[in-house]
Amino acid sequence: MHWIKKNTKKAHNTTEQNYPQQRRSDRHEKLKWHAVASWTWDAHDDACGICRMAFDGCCPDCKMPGDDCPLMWGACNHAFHLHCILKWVNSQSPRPQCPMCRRDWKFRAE
Amino acid sequence: MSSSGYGQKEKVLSRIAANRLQKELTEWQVNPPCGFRHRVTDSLQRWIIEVHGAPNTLYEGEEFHLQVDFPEHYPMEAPQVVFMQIPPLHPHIYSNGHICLDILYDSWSPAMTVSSICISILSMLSSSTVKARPPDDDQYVRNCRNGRSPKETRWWFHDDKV
Amino acid sequence: MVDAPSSSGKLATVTQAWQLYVAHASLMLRSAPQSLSCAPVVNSEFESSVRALCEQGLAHFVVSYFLDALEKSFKQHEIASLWQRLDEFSRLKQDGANEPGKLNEWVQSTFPKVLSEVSSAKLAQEESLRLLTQLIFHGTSGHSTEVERYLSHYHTAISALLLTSAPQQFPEILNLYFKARLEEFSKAMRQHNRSTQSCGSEGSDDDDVSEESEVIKGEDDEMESIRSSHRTSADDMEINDSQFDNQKVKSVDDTQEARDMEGVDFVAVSDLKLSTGAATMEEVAVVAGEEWVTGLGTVIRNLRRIGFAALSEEGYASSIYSLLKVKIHAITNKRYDKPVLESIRSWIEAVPLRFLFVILASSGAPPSKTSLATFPSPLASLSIPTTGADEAVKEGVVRWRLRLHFFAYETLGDLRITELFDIIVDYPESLPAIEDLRQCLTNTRHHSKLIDSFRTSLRQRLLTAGAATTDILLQYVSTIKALRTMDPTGVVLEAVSEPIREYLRGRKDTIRCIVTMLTDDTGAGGSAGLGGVGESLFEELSRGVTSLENVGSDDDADLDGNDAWAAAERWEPDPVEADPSRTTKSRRLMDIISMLVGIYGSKELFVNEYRVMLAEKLLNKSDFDTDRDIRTLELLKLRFGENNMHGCEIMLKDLADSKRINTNIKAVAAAKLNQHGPTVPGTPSGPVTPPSDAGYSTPPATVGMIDSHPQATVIQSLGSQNDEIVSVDGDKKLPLDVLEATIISSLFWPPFQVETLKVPAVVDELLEEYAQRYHAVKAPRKLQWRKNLGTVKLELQFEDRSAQFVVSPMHAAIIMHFENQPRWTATALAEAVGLPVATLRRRIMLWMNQGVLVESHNTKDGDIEYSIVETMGDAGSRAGAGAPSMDSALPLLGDEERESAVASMEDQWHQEMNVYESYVIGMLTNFDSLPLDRIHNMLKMFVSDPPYDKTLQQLQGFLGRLVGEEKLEFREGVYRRRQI
Repeated sequence: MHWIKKNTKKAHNTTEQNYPQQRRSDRHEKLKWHAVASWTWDAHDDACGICRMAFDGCCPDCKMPGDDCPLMWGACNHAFHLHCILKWVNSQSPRPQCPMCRRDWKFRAE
Repeated sequence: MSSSGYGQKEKVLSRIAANRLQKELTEWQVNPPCGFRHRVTDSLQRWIIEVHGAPNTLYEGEEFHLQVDFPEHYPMEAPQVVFMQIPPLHPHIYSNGHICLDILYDSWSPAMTVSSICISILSMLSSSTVKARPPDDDQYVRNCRNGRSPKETRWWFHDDKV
Repeated sequence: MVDAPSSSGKLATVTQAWQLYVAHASLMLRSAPQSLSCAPVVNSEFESSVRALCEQGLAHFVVSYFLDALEKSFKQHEIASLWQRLDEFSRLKQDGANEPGKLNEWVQSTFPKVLSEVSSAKLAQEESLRLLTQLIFHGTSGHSTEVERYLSHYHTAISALLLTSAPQQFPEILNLYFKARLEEFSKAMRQHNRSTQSCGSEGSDDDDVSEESEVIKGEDDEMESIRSSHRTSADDMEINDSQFDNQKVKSVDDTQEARDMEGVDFVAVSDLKLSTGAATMEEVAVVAGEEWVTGLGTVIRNLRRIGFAALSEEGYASSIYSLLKVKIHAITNKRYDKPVLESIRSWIEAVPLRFLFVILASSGAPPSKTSLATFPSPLASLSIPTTGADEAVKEGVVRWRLRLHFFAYETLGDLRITELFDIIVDYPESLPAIEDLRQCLTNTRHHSKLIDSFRTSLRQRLLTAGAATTDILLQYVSTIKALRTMDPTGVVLEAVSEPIREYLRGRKDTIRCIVTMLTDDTGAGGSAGLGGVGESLFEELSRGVTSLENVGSDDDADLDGNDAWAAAERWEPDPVEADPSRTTKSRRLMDIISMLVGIYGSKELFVNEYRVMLAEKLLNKSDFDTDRDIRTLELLKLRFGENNMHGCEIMLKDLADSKRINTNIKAVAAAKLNQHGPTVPGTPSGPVTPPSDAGYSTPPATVGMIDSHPQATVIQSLGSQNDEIVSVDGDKKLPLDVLEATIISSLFWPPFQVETLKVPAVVDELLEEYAQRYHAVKAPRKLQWRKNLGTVKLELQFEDRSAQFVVSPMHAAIIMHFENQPRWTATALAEAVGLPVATLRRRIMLWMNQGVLVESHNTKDGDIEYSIVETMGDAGSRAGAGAPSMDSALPLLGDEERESAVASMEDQWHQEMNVYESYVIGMLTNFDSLPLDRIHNMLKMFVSDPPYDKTLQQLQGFLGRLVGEEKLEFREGVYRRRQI
């Protein structure tokens, strides 16, 4: 038994080997694996230290998680919702500190 | 309650603040800091917290009350935390309830929570070796007569211990 | 004047006069019955004797004697003969079984005769009494009043005599008589209508024309008579069966009646407003014939004369009522699609009221005798006299109209009330019936009757285990709509919906059904009988404008200015049945969706269930088409508020994002491929079919598992040629195109069932590659695969057949393992796919049912073994084999056995609550029995991991379930452990 149907409809005989290219181009039309995955920011922590909302959710100002509400890491490797840390940093100029470790805040270079 | 006048100029909590406080309150109910009890009120903006002096400290068996008022932009700004009457006798606590503790003012960080503030205050109490008012108590209290908030005071913090 | 000496002489005179008087009187009385019309002869002897007696002051005595004699004579002769005649009726009735016609004839012809005889006798007696009294009191001051007094005395005495001695069957005779008359009239009216109709618009008031229509009527009569001869035989049989059962006799040929009745309005509208007495009389005479009118009039007059006015009224009233009832039942006969009330009213106008008009006109104002005493009757005013006779008749008709209308409302209303369940089943076709019922109820106020009756039929017909939840919901929706129309206050609806809601709350699939009905406008997947249900609810959803958010707001508080004023003007008190705890507005505002959603008391539950269902639906999609769901969501947002639907919105956005990301990732992959390894030159643009295509249908000589090894090799060699990556299994790497992924923001989706599925290595590699590419595009975000979720479309090729399937990843994983190894033990396979053996054995049923795998017992170690069915052999005709169907038509197999990937709200809830079970049991072991609030408080105190955060109601529900599971019992307000 095959789980991939070849378009040649030749299940098993040597002629198949004569048409390798053709089979390759068709086989994937016969198998469609529709998988499900969840995304994560992989921030080594559940929630933003500032708003206490989940990293994989969004900050209180946002409606949509993911692209619309990205995370930002400091040089100290502490992560926050971009919108949250920007608010804090802007209110603390000229020398903002990381809310978690009080080290001077610098955005981590990607 | 002499301290009740401080909250006047506060605006309504922002959505972010309300959101975060809701979460903190839920967390508190799940896992309250040892020695504290949140007194249930209908206000999210002002919390009243019972403080029980830790065992084997000067304040063992005593009960105090903290009043925590949250600003509009909490947690970007620190909450105002004062003891309600009668505040514990402590070298960093004025008789009007104001507390000299850096994290409440300059060293505030939005990563802190009511819970972490409480723990700091309890540890401040617990590490005290003497029951006394700050030396400048009279003067400070006189200055604050007009109902000034402790957050308007320019604090300098003597030391980390007591 | 009176001297003592002459007293003896006087006595002699008096005695003589008295004897003379008595002799003449008895003579008079005896002759009276015979000489009906001519006035009794008063000879001078009699006169003088009376005078003489009166002179002696014996006037009163004289009259008393006369009255007494009259009574005696009446009793002896008239009553005796009357009852004798009536006995004929009893005899006929006994024989009636054989000859009902004779009985009828007796009632119709003999009875009026008998009546008129009695009546004349009485009239004669009356006349003689009048003569006597006039003689006596002539010239005295109170002359006429004295005469009247004695006449009335006489009248009362005779009436009393008749009534007390009247045989039992008398009312029955009256009833039969009036019934027959009324039916005659009704029939005549029908024919009249028909002839008028057939005359068309030519008809005018001209006499000639009416002559003509008489002719036509004559013809019609012929037809009628032919028909009635048929009918008579039918009638006869009916009568045989059920001795004079009015209704049955009439119910023959119902439909005919009904049709005729509908025709009535025409007449009613055109010229049936009872105008002046004379005109109406004429009309009736035209319709029913002079003879009929006179006959009826005479009977009425005679009855009245002998003091049977009340009895006769009972008679004709009951015959009218019963005919009306029959008509109503006939016209309504299980049809709800036409309004009938108007026809009934017209019919009342056309037949019974005219009939009554004749009766009232005959009895109210007898042309000759105007001075009869009044009789007890609800229509008392009618017997008041002459001047306003016409007016009085009119007034009587008005009263009767009201009575008949009320009776009609009551009858029709009660009938419709008993049929309400079926009426609602037919909604909206049954709207006319509902409108009729509404009018009836407005008049009868039988709302509570309706509520009781409808609740009973609900219990018996709908709220039973046999009814599908969708059907119950459907009927509920119709009920809401129908009762809204009928009772705008919403009180009735509220009262009858409670049992439905209560019942639906007990059904597990209620929310699910509501959600399906609401969101599924295609009706696909629903049973055939429910076509369009979803549609109607979806429409309802589209229509809904009132957001549920506002339903809580009380009464008219939110109105101002003109609105408030208008609202105040409109205000009407709620009916007494109203539940005072609800406000009028909340009752009225609730639309159908709100009512459905409100079954559970909270929209949260509904929203959550919707989310679960949406999640399932989206995860089973193999394309990313969400247009419809987006539309539904927009509608739901309007209704439930944006915040509540936020999660669903993100879910849908995830789908859209996934589609884009898929495209991006594949584009990147393709670009890379082109860069690094350009495709082998000469790749054919279209599939080249090898010449030996026919070989497909012919099973090759070599069969069985041996054959699959070369295939594996083929693939392997292909793989190495293709992408230079060969998996450990020896399988080739699959192209990325095979994979599509739905990438979800898991926090906003309902929790998923956790399953540890291992997918085949080739797929795993693909997933890995996809995840890496994702990370490259979306850094620093990463993917976490939910390997048990999704769908797989695959085609299996066997030696003698091939078939396509759409299955869950687990089923795909299971079957794909068989390519390289055609025989697996359950244990080994379970290990390979990462499932518990029990789960595997349950899930693998799908492939066995499809004829792909067979199960056998391995004799060596007792393990179960599965192997591929490579050739169908004799069972080759099995459905599905060898017939690759259109992709789009492929169903997702295994749906019925597959547990939902998403934990349902109920599951989640049970999971959560189950934690508390041991606490509760422990508590009740220590305390023996506890009330609800104590348990609640103790849980709050003791349970911290996870913290107890349920409401009292939630706890109550949970404890209720434990009681249901017989773990606890609840008595006298406390919970106990159940003792076994």
